[in-house]
Amino acid sequence: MLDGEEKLIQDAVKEGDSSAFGKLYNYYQPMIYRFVLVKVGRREEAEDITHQVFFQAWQNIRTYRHRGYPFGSWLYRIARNQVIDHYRSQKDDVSLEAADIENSAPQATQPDISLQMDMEKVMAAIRRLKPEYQDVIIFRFIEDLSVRETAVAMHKTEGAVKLMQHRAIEELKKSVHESS
Amino acid sequence: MNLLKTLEELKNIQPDQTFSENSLRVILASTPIEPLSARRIFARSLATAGSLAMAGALVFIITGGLSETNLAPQFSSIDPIALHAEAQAIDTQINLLNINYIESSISTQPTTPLNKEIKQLMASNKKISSTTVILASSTPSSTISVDDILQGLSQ
Repeated sequence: MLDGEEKLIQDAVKEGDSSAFGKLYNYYQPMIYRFVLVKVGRREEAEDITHQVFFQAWQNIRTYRHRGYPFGSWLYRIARNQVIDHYRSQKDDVSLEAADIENSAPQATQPDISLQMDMEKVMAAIRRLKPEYQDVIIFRFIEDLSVRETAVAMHKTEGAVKLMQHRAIEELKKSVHESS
Repeated sequence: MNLLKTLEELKNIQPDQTFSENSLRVILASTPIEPLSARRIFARSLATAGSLAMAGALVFIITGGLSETNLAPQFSSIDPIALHAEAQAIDTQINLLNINYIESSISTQPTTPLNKEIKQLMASNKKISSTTVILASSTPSSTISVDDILQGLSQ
């Protein structure tokens, strides 16, 4: 959670303070981008969807009610819906073979080739999982959200998240093993 | 492959800096949508109700609804009872009977030069008003002057 997040949210919601929203954007945008990229697998699409997520968030910022949960939970919910809409509107599914490895590779760091290949393999394996398993793996292992935060973002109980996390990891291991 | 280590590496994925800056600029250029507060809902409802009331009143006036009420303007100089009695007193039957009489008298009377002229004139002027005919034939005998007939037909 961002330091002083409540104040920033308050300013953005009540006064439509664009600089407060800008700070929230700078903090949460990379997380939302990663979440979307792992789910869709293509950088351009991930950028488009991420943009849409924050655009919607800014448009509806006045309706946001802070209930003690991180602002990110709300953004993740928007992102999940956007990804669902994206897959609904997409007629042709992009297969793993068709996916451009260069396009979905991490941008800021330049890991060695084998690590990059592994990352691609894991991302592809995540995409083969059920959407709920995808979410729990991203939230818990990539974004390091707490069980509680994950539960809020996924509209689940904490117990359900723990159970789902265990099953998701097992499924992911199986999926990675099958692909290699 | 170490799965957890690879998942850790995915944390390093970062969006393109130029994209992030452009996206934020575009987003902040738009205006957030104002939520529907109770006051706004009330104001909207009031405006809608006002429009409907105005439209209803207009329809009521157009369809003559005012005449059924005491709100219609009263003209003191007009006596509706007297007007009704006056309308009843007009004897339209007489004029209709005269038309019949004229037609029959014209066809049965021996052809005189005057009647012949009337027939010719009537034939040439198809648009003859009933008043003209009455005027022309109120005296079906030869006492009517040609000038009167022509004047009547010209009207």
